[in-house]
Formats: sequence, C-alpha cells, structure tokens
Amino acid sequence: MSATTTIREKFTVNGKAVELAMEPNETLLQVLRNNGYTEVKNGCSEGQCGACMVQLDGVPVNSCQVLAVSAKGKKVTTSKGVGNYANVSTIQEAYVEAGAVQCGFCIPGFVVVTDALLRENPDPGEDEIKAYLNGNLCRCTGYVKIIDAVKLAAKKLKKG
Amino acid sequence: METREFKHVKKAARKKDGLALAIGESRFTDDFSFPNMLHIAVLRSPHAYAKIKNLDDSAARALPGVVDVYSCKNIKRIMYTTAGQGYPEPSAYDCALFNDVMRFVGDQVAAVVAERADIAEEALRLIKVDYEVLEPLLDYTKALEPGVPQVHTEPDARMIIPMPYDAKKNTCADIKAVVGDFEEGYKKAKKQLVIQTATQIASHCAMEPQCAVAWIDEIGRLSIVATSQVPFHARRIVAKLLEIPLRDVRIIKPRIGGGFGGKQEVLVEPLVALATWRTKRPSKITFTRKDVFVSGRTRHGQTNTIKVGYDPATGMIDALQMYALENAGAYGSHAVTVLSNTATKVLPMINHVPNIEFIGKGVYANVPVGGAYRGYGATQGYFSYSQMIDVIAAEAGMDPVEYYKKYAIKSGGTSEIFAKLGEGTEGGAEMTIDSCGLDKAIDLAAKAFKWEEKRKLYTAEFNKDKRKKRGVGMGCFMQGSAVPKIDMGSAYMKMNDDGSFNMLLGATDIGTGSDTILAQIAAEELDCPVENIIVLSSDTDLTPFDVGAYASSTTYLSGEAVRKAAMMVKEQIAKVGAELLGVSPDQVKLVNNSVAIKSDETKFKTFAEIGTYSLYTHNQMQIQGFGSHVVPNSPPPFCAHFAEIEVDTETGEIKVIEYVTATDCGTPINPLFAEGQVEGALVNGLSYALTEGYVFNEKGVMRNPSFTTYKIFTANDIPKITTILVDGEYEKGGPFGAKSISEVAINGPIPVLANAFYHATGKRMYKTPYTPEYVLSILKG
Amino acid sequence: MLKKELRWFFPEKPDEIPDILKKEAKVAFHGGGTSILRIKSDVITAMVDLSKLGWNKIRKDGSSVVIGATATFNEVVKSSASTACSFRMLQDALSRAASNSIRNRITVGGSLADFPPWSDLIATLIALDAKVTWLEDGKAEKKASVAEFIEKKLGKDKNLVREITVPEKDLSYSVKRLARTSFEYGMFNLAVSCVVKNGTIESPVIVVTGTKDRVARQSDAEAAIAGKALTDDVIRDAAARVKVEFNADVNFGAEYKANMVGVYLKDALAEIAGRK
Repeated sequence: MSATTTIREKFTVNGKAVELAMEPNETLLQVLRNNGYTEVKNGCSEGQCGACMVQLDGVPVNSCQVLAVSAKGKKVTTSKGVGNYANVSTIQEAYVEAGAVQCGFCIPGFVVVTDALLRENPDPGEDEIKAYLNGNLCRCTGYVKIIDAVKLAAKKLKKG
Repeated sequence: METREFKHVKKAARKKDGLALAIGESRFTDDFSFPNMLHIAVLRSPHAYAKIKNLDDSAARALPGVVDVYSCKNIKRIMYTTAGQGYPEPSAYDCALFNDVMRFVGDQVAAVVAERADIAEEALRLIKVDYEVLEPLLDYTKALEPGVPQVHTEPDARMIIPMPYDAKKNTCADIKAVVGDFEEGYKKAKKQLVIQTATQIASHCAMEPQCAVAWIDEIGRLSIVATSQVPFHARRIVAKLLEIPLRDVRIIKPRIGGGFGGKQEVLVEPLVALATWRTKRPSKITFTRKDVFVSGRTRHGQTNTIKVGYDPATGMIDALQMYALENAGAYGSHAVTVLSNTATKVLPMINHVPNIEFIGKGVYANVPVGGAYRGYGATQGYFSYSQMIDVIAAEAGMDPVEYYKKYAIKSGGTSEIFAKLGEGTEGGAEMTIDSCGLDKAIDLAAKAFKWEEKRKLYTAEFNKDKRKKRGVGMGCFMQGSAVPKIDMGSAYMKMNDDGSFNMLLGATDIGTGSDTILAQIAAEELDCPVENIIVLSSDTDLTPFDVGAYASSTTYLSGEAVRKAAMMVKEQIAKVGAELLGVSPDQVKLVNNSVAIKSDETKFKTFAEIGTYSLYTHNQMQIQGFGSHVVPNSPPPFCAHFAEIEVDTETGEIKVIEYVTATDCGTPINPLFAEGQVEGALVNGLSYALTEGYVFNEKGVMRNPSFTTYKIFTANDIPKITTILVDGEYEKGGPFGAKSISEVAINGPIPVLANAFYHATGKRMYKTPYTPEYVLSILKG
Repeated sequence: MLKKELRWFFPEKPDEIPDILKKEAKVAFHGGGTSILRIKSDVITAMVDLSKLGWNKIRKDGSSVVIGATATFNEVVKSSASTACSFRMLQDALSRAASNSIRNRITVGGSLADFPPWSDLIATLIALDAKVTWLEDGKAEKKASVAEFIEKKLGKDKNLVREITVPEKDLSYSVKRLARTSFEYGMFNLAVSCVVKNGTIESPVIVVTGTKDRVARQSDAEAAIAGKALTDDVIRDAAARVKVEFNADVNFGAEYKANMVGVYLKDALAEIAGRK
C-alpha cells in the first residue's frame, strides 16, 4: 500500500475560506482547476500567456508560475471573485460593452489584471495600461478593444 | 448599391456569451471532467523521418494505472486526411491514425491511456521503439529535385477525388490555371519583372490548446466535447476512422478559445473516441503548448514567384505568371485548397490581365504539417503581388492609390480565375463582382492616415543621413465569403410561449460571435429583439448540419440559412397572427415583436400572444422553420491598408508607428464585432511579418516551441490602429447585404510593411519574418 | 518534473535552516519560485520557502539601500525607499524584466542566485558596485561585491542570499536590453553608470551580461571615456572597443548581438551626454 502524497492547505478563494487538496509539486493553476475553479485557464503553463492570472493578496500573478504550497494561507482572487452573476463587476461589463470579448479564453486573466491595475491606479494613461497588461496575451482582438475596455471601466468606476 | 435602415443588424448588439466569458462561467473543453475519467498521453517521434521497425509496449502496459496502449501494432490502418473539409475531401488520404512511418519530429507514434495524466506521461518513457532512421527532407524548396528523399512511399496514400497526386515527386497538390497565352504576352510586353518572395510557416497561437473529452452517454453512444471548428466533419471522420456507426457519435462544440484554422482539423477527437469507445469510460486529451506548435498544424510556408510583362507607361499588365511552391509539411492536409486560394483570392484583384498562368505545387517535407490558417494561401500570395503593383505603379508615375482606383476589380467586373479554380475542386465558381467598396475604402483610409502628406514628407531627402528612416506604404486586398457550390449550412427555429425563439444552428462560433450575429439576422427578419432569440449551436445531435467555421463563411452562408428559417417561421407567425386579428395573412406584417394589420398598425397581436395561442389554444402547432443554404459564389470583402514605419538602420528594427484599415464587408451585421475581426487579424499579421517563425535544428527538431522564444505581440507592442468600415455597400446574395470580414485583414501587414520599407529605404524585402538581421542584410545590399 | 514527494519548510528564523540542509538530500530555496519552475529539477527533495523570514524589506541604511532577498522585482520598482540615482537605475532596469505579472514573483535574491543569461539584474548591480550578503551553508554570514559573487559562482547550492546593498550615489546611467517584443528575455543586457563632473566622465562602469562567459566588463571601453567629455568621436571610439563574445540563440546570431552591444553603447552614452 503506497502512502498518498496529497495534502490539504487553507486558502481564502474569492472571499471564501476553503481547504484545497493538492500535491506538493503542483502549481496553483493545477490546484485551482482541480478544485473546480475552471475559470482560471491553462494557455501555456510557462508564465507567458497570462490566461492563468489570479491575484494573490491583490497582486496579479501567473498561477502556473506559483507552487501552490508556497501560496498557502493567502487570499486568492479569480475572475469570479472580481465579479459574478450575483454581483457583476463594472470591469466585466466594460469588457462586454467595448467589444473586447471574442473567444473569451484570455478574458478572465485580463479581468483579474485590470482589477489590480485600477485599484493601484484608478486613472491610467494608455501607455500605462499597455505596460501593465503586457503579461496577458490575446490573439483574437489585437488588444485594441481591450484597451478601450480598460479605459471605459476606469471612466465608469470614477463616476462611482 | 443599396442602403437600408436596419433595426437589428448593423448594430453593436450585445454578445450573447460576453458576460459569461468575462466572469469565467463559460466552459471550454478542458473545463469538462468526469468521474472515472482516463487520461491520454501521446508518444511523439524524435526523428524527422523513420520507420518503426519494432514497438514494445509491454513495460508501459505493466505500469500500474495504465489501461491501454495504441500504436500501429494494434490499431487498424485506415487512411484518411485530418483536414476538416467537406466529403470527399480535396486533401490527400496520406496518413493513418498511427502510422508505421514517422514523417516529422512530433509525429504520433503511440498513445497511452491511463488512470492519471502523470502515469500516462511516465508510461510513454517505457515504450521501446526501434526506429530505422531515414534521411529526411527538411528543405521543401528541394522537394522536386531528383534524388531527394521521398516523404511518402506507402502504396495506399492517394487523393480520393480526381486530382493530381505524385508521391514519387513529393507532390500532394498540383494546380494549373491558364488564361490566354502567358509566354507570348510576356515576351511581347514592353517590360518584364520578376519578383520572388518567401513566407515562413507559423503557428495560430490560439490561446486555448487543442483538447477533447469523450464519454459514453446513458444509452451507450459516444459523446465528444472538443475544440473543433468543424464538429460535423469531425463526427464523420471519427466514425469512419474508428469504424463506429456515425449515428452513435455525437460531437458537441463548447466555447472555443480561438481557432484561426488550427482547429479545422481532426487531431484530438479520434484519440478520445478510441479510448472511450473501447473502455466505455470517459477520457481526455489536452495538448501542451509545445504539442500545439509541433504536432498541431501550421500556416503553409510558400515561395511565390511572379513573372509579369507590363507597359511601364500606363501600368497595364499584359501577362502574369505566378508560380507558388507550397510547403505542405509531412502530410497534405489543406494543401490543394490553400494553394488554389493563392490564385483565386489574389490574381483577380487586377483583372484586366489577358494572359494569366498560375502554377501551384504543394510538396511534402519532413517538417510540421501545414493546415488551414486565416488567409489560407492569399496571405502568402499577396507578398509578391502587392509589391509588384507597387513597383509597376511607381514606374508608371502613379501613386499606388491611383493605380488601384484605376485598375482594381470593380462592381460588375469578373476574372477568369474565378471560373478556373474553386477551392481546388473540378469546377470553380464563375463570379461577377456585385458589391465593391474598394474605392471608398481607399479614400477613407488614405484620408484618416494622411497618406498624401506623409508620402510627400518622407522623401529620400528627408531620410538622407538619418539613422531612423520613415516610410509609408499601402496595399489593397480581397478574400472570399464561403466556398461556393460545395459547402452547406442550415438552421432551425421554433417559437416559444412568450414569443421568444430557440434557434438551433450548425454554424460554429469559435469566438467570432457568430451566435450573436446570426441571432441578429433572424431578429431583423422577424423584427423582434435579439435577446429573444436563444441560440444553441454546433451539437451534431441537436443542430442541423453546417460545414463549420472556415472560409469566412458563417455570415454569408450560414446567415442565409438562418434567414430562410426565419422566413418560414415568419410565414407561420403571420398566419396565426392574422387568424387572431380576423384578417387574411396578406393583410398583416411583422413589426416590433408583433403582427399588425398593415392598414392600421394600432391593431396588433404580440409574439407572446401568438406563441401562447399557437401552442395551447386553437389549431395548435409548433411554429417552426428551417433552412439550408449553399452559395453560388464567394463575394470578396475588399480592404485598403496603410502603414507608417520607422526603420532603425543600425539595429535593423522595424517599428510600426501607425496602421489604418478600411474594409468593405457589405453590411456589417455587428460593426463592433466586424472591427474586432479586422483588428485581431491585423495584429496577428504584424507579428507574422515581424517576429514569428519556426526555428529548426539540423535534425528537424523545432528549437522554439514555446511563447518564451516564439514571440507574438503583446498589448504593449501594437501601433496606433484605426479601423474603418465602409458604409453603404450591399451584397445581393448575402443576408441583408453582408459579406465576410474575418480573414481578409491578415493579408495586409506583410506586403504593406514591405512597401513602406521601400519608401523609407529604397530597398525591397522578399522574406518573412523581417528580423533585424534580415533587415540589415537587405540594407547592406 | 518536481517530485511529488516534495517536503516543504517555512522557517521563520534563519537558524532553522542549517538543520534542514543537513537532513535533506537536495534543498532548493524558494523565493518566488520562477527559476525553480523553469528548471523543474527532479532531484530536489525539499523546498525551503523564505517568505516567513521577513526578508522582503527595502530600507535605507546609512548611505545605502538594503534590499531583502525576497523582495520582488515590482516591489523594488515601486519602492519609494530612496530617490538616489543609483536606486533609480536599478528600478529602471528591473521595470523592463519579463512581464508585469512575472515581476510580481521574481525575487532579487533568487534572480541573483540563478543568474540566467537574460538577467536584467546582474549587469546593473555590478555597474552600481552593489554588495550581496549571504548565509554560507545557511549559517555563516558573508558579504562580497556582486561581481565577485558572480565570478566565484557563490550562488550555488547551499548558499542563501539574504540581502543586496546598493550604495546611494548621484550618477548618470543608461540600461539597455536586446529584445523584439515587450515581454521577452533580453538576449543581452547592457548597464552603463558613471559620474559626470564638469562635463567629463568619472568612474565609468560598462557591463554586459548574456555573453558566452555570462558577464563581460568593458574595461577598454571604460578607458576610452574616462576623464573625457562625451563627444561623438569619444562615443564612437568607446563603441569600437567593445569586446564581447556571444553564442547564437534561437532568435539572434552571435555576430549580430556583438554588433548591437556597440550600437546600444553608443545610444547609452548619447543618452548620458543628454543627446537623443
């Protein structure tokens, strides 16, 4: 009989205290997806595409580049934590309105990083937006309407 | 030209799945999992060309958790093509699911099915394969020379339609189209010019890797969820390949994370189908990003040589020959049709040419396999064609804008090339151009770009002695809308109690928003809110047939099928509404989500009243309609592109400062989505021109199968982009005047940047990508 | 592939570490984990996570800025601990590394110990004459210049970087990297620092990383500008004296890279001289 290596660690995911099952060598991306948070996407597993973006204590990171155990105890925010059907985020609404959502595979990652950006800098200029988003790849939109969406979200959030 | 006031099309309707995607609720294939699910891992060939002499999977089978191993040793050899095209496919049947000969590094040796993904991976290492390594053909430009390796020697490789196939000459596509007498015309012309260009193979880089999940449903049939642009083709191919009755196969398309042609291929579905059909357990396979690069599909590389005889005084072309040598890669998927497109979507642009010859050869090489990729051969052809126009225009003392306005194909015009070549089938489709907004596109884009001012400013004098030189360039491009006479789409609609509709479509939304725009078309026909049309698409059990998302066909082809279904429903609604209003059906019209008496619109019945009445009250029936559509032609969208670049003559870097496009797509059903298609294709095209490319070592191993070294643009790399849609064009055969828009923009960047480079430096570029080192080599002469 | 049987330790004090090093066959120190995930070594038996040690502070200490080893690149970039030019040079260099989100994970200690060829950190630290403090075998505290630390390959195995000390200096600088897109490994990094006094250059340091030998200090080019004013001729002369050797990589040839160092050095010096 072989010993199992599976362990459980505590996190707060999207505001809810949870215990996630994981292997000690798994990334946060793998652990989140295996525990049902499939809104966090796997585009490359190399930290290059940003589809796996989540916030750790509010800081945007590529979850495929985080070993899950090292993040234990932290607050994890996915796109569903930024907003969901019960409580749609202005940012998510702005992405839809601006035409920034095509296939949508990259969008949860963009929503997470946009949320982090606008909390850090509520009035970013175009260059700042482009630089902040340079870890999120999109092949569908050419980024034009994504940048529009961020500007629209910033405008709407300022109005309050 | 027809302008109409529309209520639901030509509007930025809200994307039906937009919010679901932004939240992350929408499920993509890898988000599906089942209890008791098996995982599949694939053993990939380390050699570019090798025979499998022996394969011993006993150690792999002995690993605890391994359920089965598939290879050429135990899987029946049935030849097919992975290309997702209509049957009979115009691509060579030159592969089996598990070949006994490996033809590129990354080719599929064997598949392991195991309880866990990591066990399946570990088992791969335990499969012992004895290869007889053969000398590979790594340079496709040598494929036709005598004495080079023959990539396909198996006797059962063939084309299943009567088209040329000559494996002895490594040729899997052989196309010729002749108009007039090229040799004569060329000889007699006042001046001759030869231009040769070469485009590289590239990866689609859709953010979602290929994936498939299969399970046995409650009554024992095989269900598959897959990243497919072509669920109906996939169903047919899976059934045939695995000898499962087609009626027992169901393919469901979930949300798809981009395709661009890379998922117009049946690569992953057969593996899960095999595992699940045999074990009766769910199974999944997911491509890693490396798998996508190496073992997915690529854009066909192409060397394109134009010989043109022309009159330098007028710019008129007397004779044009285009020789396209296409790198098919190890298998011939899409080789014929991509090659054919190089001719049909490019050569008609300047349509006064009396002597035309197109020679296309698709050849094998032991490198990753070419497949469908946005632009589909046109992108490759425009590299030389568009520069040719630039040169000829300049010699004739014409601004290229002037040249296109004078000589580009117009409404009412035609080209013999349309008739000579379809997408590679026996006929082709003769076509007279109906809508053509190219002149308008040119004017709008030139103005927004400040073309004349910039052309006057960035002269040789301006750039003299400057390290960073500036230049501007332009080009005009066309594509097509659907594959004429061959491809079919269909739709079904039914009405509900509350006046809403369920619309079941075969058409495949891979992120384009087709679910939404097709609902807009139906809504326009019925004059009801777009929100009242609930769309379900691409489930081979539930939705009627559609070829899938390719050839820029969804709006033009599937849109008309939707309109037909809506018209059938419209007739029934009118009948019931008239009954309720006590008049005859010819006295009513559909307006504002209701049926009203034409002569007195204050007398009306709402769709909700009609829906409820029809289902429950009297003469009960299900109001339902359907339609199928095949198009007789493939009307081109037209566009004009303008770019400003800065060339650093010391580093060789090209910086794109500004890029303006104007596109005529007839009626844009959803202008916001249409712009998005242009912008996405454009940025993809810029990356393709500047930074993308496969780097191989001397053994045919790809050295950069990763986003770390295969670079595509980030948000921080894009230039200033302006996107204009030409207003007022109306294509008669299209739903409410619509044509396509999804591919054409990708044809622009390569030649337009080359034309701008010429303006900046006086030198031309002939090879992509325009790496800094290549640029420096061109500048040095 | 990292082992499934990985053991994790979260020491709260440095003196817990030597014991772990003794008991475990192969230990990896985990800061942000970005190098670990890149290498994915299957011999590591234990991860020693450094996040509970409180080594992420960035603070002034006399006339230096002390950066804790687990401070991330973005934490350095966003820090207001110092307004000295030398600190700004480091912030500038790090702000271009990787992508915004990856910079939230790369730690200065981890990056120094790993020293990948595309490092955006090392050339600048050497140009700033930064010092590194580490625990040898997790125990004894040692200090040396970053240049020496790199040269003697002291970042290996059981040596644990604790902090980096950057002197606060008023200097002129320029940092450059070779890449084509905004998120890409820099195929070389060039760091130039100097003091401009009465129009002439003092104490120039020109460092290139990503070369065949990993680091190449450009003493000949430095000699060409020391004590001189940065005229066009002087700049050209310095560029001509660049001595670098590269391996070709997937995207750039060796000769191209070597030539570009000269071009970038000209640009860097022109920037320092205040010209475009």
